[in-house]
Amino acid sequence: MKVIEIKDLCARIETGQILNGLTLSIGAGEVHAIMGPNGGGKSTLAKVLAGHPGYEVVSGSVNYLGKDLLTMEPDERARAGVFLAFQYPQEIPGVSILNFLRTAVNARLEKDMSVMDFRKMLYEKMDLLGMDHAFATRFVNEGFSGGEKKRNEILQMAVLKPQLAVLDETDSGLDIDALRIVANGVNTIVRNAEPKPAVLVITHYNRLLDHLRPDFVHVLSKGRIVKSGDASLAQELEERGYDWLADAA
Amino acid sequence: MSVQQEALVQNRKVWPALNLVEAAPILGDAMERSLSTLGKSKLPDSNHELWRYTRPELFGFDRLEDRSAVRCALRPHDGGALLPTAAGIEVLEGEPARTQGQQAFKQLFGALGSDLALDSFAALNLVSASSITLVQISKQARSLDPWRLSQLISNTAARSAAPLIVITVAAGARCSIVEDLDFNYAGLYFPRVEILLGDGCEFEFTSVQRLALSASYAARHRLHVGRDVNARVLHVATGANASRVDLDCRLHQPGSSVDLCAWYLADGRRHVDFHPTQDHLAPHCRSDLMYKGVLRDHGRAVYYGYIRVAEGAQKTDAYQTNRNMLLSSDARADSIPNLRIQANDVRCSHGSSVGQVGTDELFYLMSRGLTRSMAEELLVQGFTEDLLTRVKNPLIREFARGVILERIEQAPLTLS
Repeated sequence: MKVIEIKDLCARIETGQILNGLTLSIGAGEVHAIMGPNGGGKSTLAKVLAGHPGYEVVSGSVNYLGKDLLTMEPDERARAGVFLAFQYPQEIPGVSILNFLRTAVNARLEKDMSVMDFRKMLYEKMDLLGMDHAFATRFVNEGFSGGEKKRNEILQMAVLKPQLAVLDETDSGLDIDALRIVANGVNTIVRNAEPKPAVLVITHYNRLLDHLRPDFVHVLSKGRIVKSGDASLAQELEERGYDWLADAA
Repeated sequence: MSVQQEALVQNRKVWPALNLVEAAPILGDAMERSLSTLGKSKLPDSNHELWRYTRPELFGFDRLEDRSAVRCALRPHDGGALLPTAAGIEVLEGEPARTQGQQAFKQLFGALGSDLALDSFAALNLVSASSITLVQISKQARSLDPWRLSQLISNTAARSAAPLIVITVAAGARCSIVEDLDFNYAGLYFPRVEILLGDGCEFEFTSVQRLALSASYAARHRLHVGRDVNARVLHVATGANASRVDLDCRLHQPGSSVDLCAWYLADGRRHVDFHPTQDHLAPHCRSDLMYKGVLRDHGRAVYYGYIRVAEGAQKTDAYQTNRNMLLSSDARADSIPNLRIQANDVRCSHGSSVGQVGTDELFYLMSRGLTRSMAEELLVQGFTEDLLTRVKNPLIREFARGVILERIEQAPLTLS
């Protein structure tokens, strides 16, 4: 079953068009990686899927579990199971992770989990990601290191149990040990999830993919998928760079 | 005829409506100075810099011709039965307050009383005093468990009430005083609170203003800070149709540290004004101010802050920050921080911001499933919590949080 089907997607920001007819489908339980040169549209794709108001969809369609994703508000998408791990997570001064995530989980799962039950669940997920429980009462991303912010994103993925998870350069800012812990965390979340989510990983580096073992690797350049393959493509890109694909774009 | 009486006569010509007799004897020199300051001036008008952003007509100062006295009492904030005297605190009213208050000023700060009327508005406030209360905190007071200073308007039919409350804190004392103005009064409440802080004391003053919408409120709160003092002041303003607080924090001696915080809400057509001044008159003092306001509907807020560092006040650390969160495009905040520094070895900074709820923050929260209104409410809570983390006394922090959350819940904070 396909979780998401993107067809001929064209999107723009104020300064110009970024996506130029992007087509991509991801099935449940599949891990797809998107690589490609800077400015190719990787982060734009992530933002468009999450519904960022700064991006305008010009044409094309996105079907998400039988629904027209593009007509949904960002919060509707999230409650329906779309999750974006941000490349640059926002700081929310004064709001604790505990308070924020409990509000989010109750909205997503349409229930009213008690603080005590939620805290227990949160601590389990924190353990999975090697996070100190003291983080629960810290303000969201405020004063966090780059690595802590990224862990916090995956923590949110763990508690929100998405059906489509888009990880936008989650590996940047992580040292090798942290990368392994976070990647293992993602693997565990995906393995234990039912139904199985679709995962889209945006990255520049093979290191993360060594841990996540994607089923498919795509190259996004100039707003389109110019090459798709299996995990070996990532290896090839690491050796040869993107220039040899210029013709295809 | 004494200077004071002459000034009185002179003032009666300018202020025919005001009955100044009862107030005149309260503070001796200071009163004389006030009267002469007033003699050359008139009621606040919007041509004056201090009234540029807040129309004085909002307050109806002409109502001062009909003033009620105010009776004060002190009791444990948690409702306990402890008597102030048992904790080393004495509350005096009327004539004893008059004479002893005057003595306290003289003892603690010598001739300081003479600068009580900084400008004509401050002078008006002082000469309008319709009753005087003296709260004397001796060095036997050693706890920061808050005391509640309740204020009772004797004649609620009167169109205004203007208590003068003098709080003296002995050297080395520790004390926390809360005033929670929550009474239902439709007039102008025009209090003045003079706080004299003796050397090495630790003192907290918390002022919660949640008067009825029919009330107007203009307060002058003044801190006279001695040596090596730790003082913390918190203002919460959520009531009255027009609210103004002039806070003068005067650091007279070296080694003191003062934290000033405020949270305010301007909704409906309410107008909220703060004029805080951090006056560094001595070296080696620190003052840190953080004022945060939430505005919605057609709410208006004014922040006009001043850091003044006098010549010779070296090694001053002084900061002021004002942040305004706008939840409506019809709301308006004027934020004007000022610095006047006459010493060369100081660290001072000021910052201010007025802004709509951040798009990126909103998107981040919504991308986790929160509706727009949930996200906004959480951001307001966070904006508030960020301020409350500065409130050191957990009992005060909990109390302030309760007051604020209750008020937010009464009027849901959504984009309007």
